[in-house]
Amino acid sequence: MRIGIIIKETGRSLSRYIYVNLLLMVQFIICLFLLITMLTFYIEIGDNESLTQIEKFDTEKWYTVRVDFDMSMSNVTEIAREGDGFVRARDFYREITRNELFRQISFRAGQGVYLDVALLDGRFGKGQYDDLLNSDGASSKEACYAELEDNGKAFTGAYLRSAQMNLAAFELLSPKIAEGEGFTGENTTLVSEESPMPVLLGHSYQGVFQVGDTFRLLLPVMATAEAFYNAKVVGFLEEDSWMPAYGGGVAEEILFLDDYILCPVGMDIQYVPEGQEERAKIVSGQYTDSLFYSCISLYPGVSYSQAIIRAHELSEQYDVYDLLFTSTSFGMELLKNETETTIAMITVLTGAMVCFTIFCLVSASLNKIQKNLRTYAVYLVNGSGLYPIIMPFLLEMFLLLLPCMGINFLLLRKKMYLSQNYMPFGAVIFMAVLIFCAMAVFITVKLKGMETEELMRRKE
Amino acid sequence: MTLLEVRDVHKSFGKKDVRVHALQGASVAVEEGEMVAVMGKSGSGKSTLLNILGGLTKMEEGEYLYRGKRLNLENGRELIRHRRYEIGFIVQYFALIEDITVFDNVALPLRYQRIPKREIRERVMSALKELGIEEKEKAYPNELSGGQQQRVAIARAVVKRPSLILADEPTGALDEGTEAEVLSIFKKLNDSGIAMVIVTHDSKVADACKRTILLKDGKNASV
Ligand SMILES: Nc1ncnc2c1ncn2[C@@H]1O[C@H](COP(=O)(O)OP(=O)(O)OP(=O)(O)O)[C@@H](O)[C@H]1O
Ligand SMILES: [Mg+2]
Repeated sequence: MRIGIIIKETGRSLSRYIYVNLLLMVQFIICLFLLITMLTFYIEIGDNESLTQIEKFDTEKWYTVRVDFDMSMSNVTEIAREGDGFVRARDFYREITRNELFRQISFRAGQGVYLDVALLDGRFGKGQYDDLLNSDGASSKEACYAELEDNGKAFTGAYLRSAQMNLAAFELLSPKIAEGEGFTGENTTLVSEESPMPVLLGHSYQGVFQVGDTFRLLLPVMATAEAFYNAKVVGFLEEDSWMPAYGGGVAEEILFLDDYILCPVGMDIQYVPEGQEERAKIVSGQYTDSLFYSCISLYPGVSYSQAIIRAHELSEQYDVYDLLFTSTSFGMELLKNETETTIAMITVLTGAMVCFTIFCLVSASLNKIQKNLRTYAVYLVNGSGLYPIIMPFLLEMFLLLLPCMGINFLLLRKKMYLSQNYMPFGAVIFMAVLIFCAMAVFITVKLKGMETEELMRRKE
Repeated sequence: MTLLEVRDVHKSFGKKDVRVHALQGASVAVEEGEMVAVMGKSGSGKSTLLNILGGLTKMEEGEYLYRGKRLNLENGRELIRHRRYEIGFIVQYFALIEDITVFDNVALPLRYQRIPKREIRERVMSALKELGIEEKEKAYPNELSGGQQQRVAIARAVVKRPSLILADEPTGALDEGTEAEVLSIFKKLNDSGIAMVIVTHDSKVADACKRTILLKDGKNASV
């Protein structure tokens, strides 16, 4: 019966002040939207856990960055095919890897490479290199062989275990080199078409291959099949060398590289390759793929939003794909096109809006109490306690807030899902609940302090 | 048997320098089933006294006995229970709620008593019938005449079968004809055993009562 009274009274009050309530709701919706958006802009978001869990990387926070494939894959290679597209994509990558705001590293643990079976059979002996085959995802050993064509020459390729990283990642990881040298600024800078791609071989290759060996290597890329490189062995990794199993289909946290061929991505290609296909290969294989499996860490004093804004500015400046900071919030995404002054203004406005909304909420409640005083008095005189008066009041506020939350959730749902970041929304709900509780206390105190008789003497 | 008794009641309003002593030692005793009028000049404390009897106002000094038991005025729950089950209130301007129907207005006290829906319906309809306004069940208060509104208010006071009805100038807003009708309703209620305390300026109302208590400056004065 009590519940019945509360529901009845809530209905009465809601319908009586229907326009005020609707206006309040509109205001709530706008306010909540702004607030959540701004919060997500400022709140520091989660880092890349898989990297941070590795001891070598746990001193910094790593944020996952991808290429924003709003455009389709073929459009990415399209960039390289058009006029100065190659130069733009390369220079964009240079700026991303060498800027004063953040350090960018790329690891790609899952991508295998193809080598000529004839070469392998000659070095290892026929069929003596099964451990090196990248058979993890393959149905059978046979599936690791493919008929390929390189510059019109047909041959059988073996799909071998391989991993890629860029120079910055290599330097940070600094695996021990058993023989030869690692990736250096020098050997990852290709000055002409003749410059080979440097490769590092795992322990299993040592003694079979020599430093200085060269061979053709197919590093498949997402968008092009024709991705052969002249590869040159520059060194061998020590036994038990490893890298983070990041950016590939490998589940473990650490990937041991003994059976692997380590290739560089994001090489600095100083010449402009002949031919559209060659340019497209390098842009997708070296730059796009590198950015697709990449993380950044911020230099001291730099905020995440600064980094995002910078990346966005660069992508505009070079007219290439944008970067998608996946651990980013939609607030950040929405506002990355804005200047700092605009953002400051929006922030101030949001603050003002929140204050104004709280003010409206309080004054609307007070107004409602004021207008209802006589009614409350009648309830009290007829045997009501305070509880059946306060509860409908709170229920009414709750019913006003709930659809606003719901609408905001619907509006922002997809964005939140993408960034896996529900925290600001939770924070705002938490704040709303706090305000709600404060109002509850306030109303209770206010009504308790009034003597029933005092209410009764008010005539309408 | 004595239904209620208040002794030596003191009540004042306002802060130090603007303090108004509304009641300064008034006492009232009402027998069960008795009909008492309270009279006195404007400002003599009649309404204040009535509100104290109804448990709406706390007093500063004095004692409240109901059926021989002391009412703890500091206990909010006890006061609410007192209002909920014992007292029916009727005021000059009816105190009806404008945006609910006559039926819902009358049903109000029963809802607080947690009476089942069906019984509420029966009791409200029979109260409305008794007062001759059953066809107004679905009307809203502002669609009724003053006399009809007061009947609704009376129906609301009696529907919970109180032992005591407190009425503050119940006929003050009514014309003479309606006043007579209301008065005869009161008599009928009183005949059915409900004690009544009626604050009034009207000697006709007072004459209808068995006894009159006269207040002067917040104290009892001899009649
Ligand atoms: N809530 C209040 N605040 C301040 N003063 C009050 C309050 N209630 C009553 N008073 C004062 O107490 C005194 C008695 O008031 P009360 O309403 O009891 O008089 P009354 O006898 O009912 O008068 P009337 O016949 O005009 O209704 C008056 O002087 C009034 O001003
Ligand atoms: Mg009065």
